[in-house]
Order: sequence, then C-alpha cells, then structure tokens
Amino acid sequence: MICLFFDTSLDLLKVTLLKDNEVIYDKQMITKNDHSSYLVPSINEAFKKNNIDFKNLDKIIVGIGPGSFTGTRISITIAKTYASSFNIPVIPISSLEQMIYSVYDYDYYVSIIEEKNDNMYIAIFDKDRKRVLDDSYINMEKLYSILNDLNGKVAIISNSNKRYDNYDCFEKKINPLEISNNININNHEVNPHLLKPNYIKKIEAEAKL
Amino acid sequence: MKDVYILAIETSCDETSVSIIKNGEEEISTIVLSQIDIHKKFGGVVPEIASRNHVENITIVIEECLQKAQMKVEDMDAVAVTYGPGLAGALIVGVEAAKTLAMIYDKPLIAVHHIAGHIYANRLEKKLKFPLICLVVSGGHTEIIYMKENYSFEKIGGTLDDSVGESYDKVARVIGVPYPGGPVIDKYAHIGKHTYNLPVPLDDDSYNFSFSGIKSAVINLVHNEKQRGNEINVYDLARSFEDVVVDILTKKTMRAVNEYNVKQLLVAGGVSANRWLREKLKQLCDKENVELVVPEFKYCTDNAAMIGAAAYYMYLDKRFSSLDLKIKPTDKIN
Repeated sequence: MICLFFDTSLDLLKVTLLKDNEVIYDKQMITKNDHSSYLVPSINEAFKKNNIDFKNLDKIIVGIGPGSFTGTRISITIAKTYASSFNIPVIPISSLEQMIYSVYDYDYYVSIIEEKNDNMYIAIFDKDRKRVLDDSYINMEKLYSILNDLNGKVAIISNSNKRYDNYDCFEKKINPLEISNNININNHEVNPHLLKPNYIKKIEAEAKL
Repeated sequence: MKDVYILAIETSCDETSVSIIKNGEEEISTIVLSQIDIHKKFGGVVPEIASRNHVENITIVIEECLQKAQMKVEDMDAVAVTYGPGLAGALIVGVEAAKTLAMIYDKPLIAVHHIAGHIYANRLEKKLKFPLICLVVSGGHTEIIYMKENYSFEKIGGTLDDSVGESYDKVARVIGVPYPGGPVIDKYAHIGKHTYNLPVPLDDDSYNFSFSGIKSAVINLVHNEKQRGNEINVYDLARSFEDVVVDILTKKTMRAVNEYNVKQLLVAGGVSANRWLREKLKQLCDKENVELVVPEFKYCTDNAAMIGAAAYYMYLDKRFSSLDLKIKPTDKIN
C-alpha cells in the first residue's frame, strides 16, 4: 500500500510518501510563494529515491485549503492530473483538519489559520476526531463565543505561535502518517475531475455584483 | 524520420485549451474551453475567476483531447505548455498539469512563449519561409517581429502604451458595445463610412505604435457630441477608428517588410481575425509581391494547437525544461 500526501495551501510545502504505514520519504520546506518550483520535483524525488513506479501508487491524499488560492491550486492541479491519468483514488483533506493529528487526549480540537485583521479560518473536531464545525471564516469575537459553547478539554492548534487565553495552544505540525490512518473519519474518495480547492472566501468581483 | 506528436496545454488567460499536434504542422485534435461568457458580466477577464475555472476544467479538457485523437499520453513524444506571458494564476494551472504529465509519463517538457505560439499558428496554415516579418496584434500585444530563421525572434517595434486589442475594447465600451467589443467594432466598421476626423497615431520613422491618443480622441468626441445633443453614428465612428488604426498598422508593417527584404509577412494574435486588416495587408502584399500568411480564424484567439506547433522546433533542438519550470507572467519574447 503506497500513499502519497502533499499540501501547499499555506507557506509550508509538505510531501510525504508512505509505504505500508511507514514514512519512506518526507520533505517539508517554507518556499516563500514558490511552491510551483518545488512540488513536482519533490514528488519526483520521492518516487525516484524509493525506486517506485508512478503507476504503482495506491492513493493520493491532497490538501484542498483553505489557505493561499494559488498555493492550493498547485497541489490540486497536480493531484487531479496524476489521479485521472492512472485512475488512482484521491482523497481531499482540509488544511484545518491536517493540523489536528499531532495533538492527543482532548475533548475538542479547534484548528485555526490566522488571517489579516483578527479574522481566521476555523474548524472543530471532537475527541474521536469527528468534525463538529465545517471550515469557516470568522472573526475573533465569534471565535470566543464558539469556544465558550464547548464543554470539555479544548486544544487550539494554529498556524502561528499566538496564544489564546485560558486554552491549551499548539503550533501546527503536519503528521501524514496519522492523517492517513484517520483519513476516513471525515473524508472520502472523489472523482479527480471534480477535485477543486475549498476557497471559502468569495471572489471580490463576484461579491460586488 | 519518425513522426513527432506533442501534447500542448495553454491556460494563459481565459481559455483552457489542449491540443495534439503532429510534426509541428498537423492538428490531430484540439479542445478549447472558453470562459468568455463567465467574464462578460464583469466587463473583462477577472484573473481569480479565470484561475478557478482552469483548475476545475483542466483534466477534463486533457482527457477530451486525448479521446478525440484516440491517443494516449504514452503515444506522445513531449508535453508542451505556455509558461508566459499571461495571468499568473491561470498560467500556473497549465504548467503544473504539464509538469505532472511529463513526470508520471517520463516525457520531455517544453516551455513555450505565448507569442511564439501565436506566430506559429501560421505554421498550421503554411510552411514558413525566412526571413519573415510577423505583425503580432492582440488584446495584450502589438509588436513587429523579425525572424531570420525558426525560433529566432527580434522585436523591431511595439506599442508604447495600449495594445491594439485594448484600444478596440475601450472604444467599444465608449460607444456602448459590451465586452469583448473588438470584433463588434470590426463588424460595425464594415457597415459605416469614414466621416469622423481622428488623429493619426504615432506616424514616425520608428516601428513603434501608440494607441492611447486615438482612444482618448474617441472618448472626447463621443462626450462632446453628447453634450451638444448630437447622436453618434456608431457605424461611422467604428469605421473612422478602424481606418486610422489599420492604416498605421499596415503602413509600418509594410515598411518593415520592404526594409528587411523578407519572403513572408505573418499576422498573429486575436486581432489578426480583423477583416479589414487582413484585406488591406492582402492588397499591399500582392502589390509588393510578398506572401501573406494569416492563421485560420479558429487559431487567431488563444488555443493550444499553436503551442504544439511552436514546441515542435524546440523539440528538434532538444530545448527541454526541467520539472522546476516556473511561470513567467511578464516574459518578453526577446
């Protein structure tokens, strides 16, 4: 069982190749708006170094945002081109859900991607990692009203080292092995042609119409 | 020699297009998915919307093109793609798809300049004879290019401000024709008469153009006539505008044709579909005994067939790109 995971929806590029539940290639780097130069070469390296034929891949897990529109499109385009060419199952996963698999033993996992002006993307998962809040775009005030309604031990995992008062805070760490083991809790295979980013935000021009 | 098949991808603006071209001259199949109806209501191409549509459609268009040709990527000798110039978010979808195909099928990757593609659209029409001059006229470009041989591009002149396509679209907007108005202006011009007096744009010894002046002149004229309570005859205005623009384009182009003593004159880009420009160049070329080559109408606007045609010569020269190929949204042809 060979599984390829990759994500470029935020400033981190992450490529991991798993074979029978073991990490056989792992790359992570901050590329400063240049994921395009590194993602395909990294995937290529993952297969070449391990002498694996591209046709022999069993599964692709790909990050679909929210995050950078262009960054997400880079991963999605590669995933859908690869998957549709060789009929490989592809499973999309939110960048927010990816963040919760390096923290354990909480009743709720709240993942946050910070944006400008105290706005943020947020999702919430329960102790079984089941999703209880869809990926949303909210402000700080709304965040605290949501947090107040959660009963139990809450972990906040975010893409910065920002602290949220009275809560256990963690900086995000992407753990593809755990993601792969838990992928079926909230996600399922999609037709690669229909794979697209989860932008959440509307386009300005459309909002103005 | 063995036949060369190239799968080409073009996503530089608002068309998602994939094509298979044999030996740089024969179209096996081409799919063009235009987003023009989506952008119409915004009065122009919205880059983010274009990018979103490309990512949703790219693999469907690739698959359709292969099915139409009844071929597989395995049958291809290379994968070619437009790397620039164009809209960054749009270009990146084509480039990532092409890189992925090149990687998983182990095919050479060829990065094609969008304007080289427009020029080589003419190769799908006729064999090119060098040296030649090519007039590139589109929504983003107005350039005169001298080619000594295949894949050698020397820009001898270009617009200093608006492209000719831009000026058409802006004039269209002023007289109330919805985007994209250029082709409609061309239609109106055929009905109207040259009655309005418009300034001749940059009539000097250079091969450069300037279209912002004539655009402003049209805007002022419409404004003044409205203030006086006079109605504008849009057909006559379109004709007057087109006459002046086509005159200066053809005048400078023919001067280049003579000065460089070329065997062919090529026209490339979206505005090469302009009927009056084609007619006038035909008359002038016949007089000068120079062969005029214009692309078929379907190859005038953005398409991947032209990218496949241009890529063939890079294939022969083994000018391949590595998998870290980057888009270049503002790349110049030379």
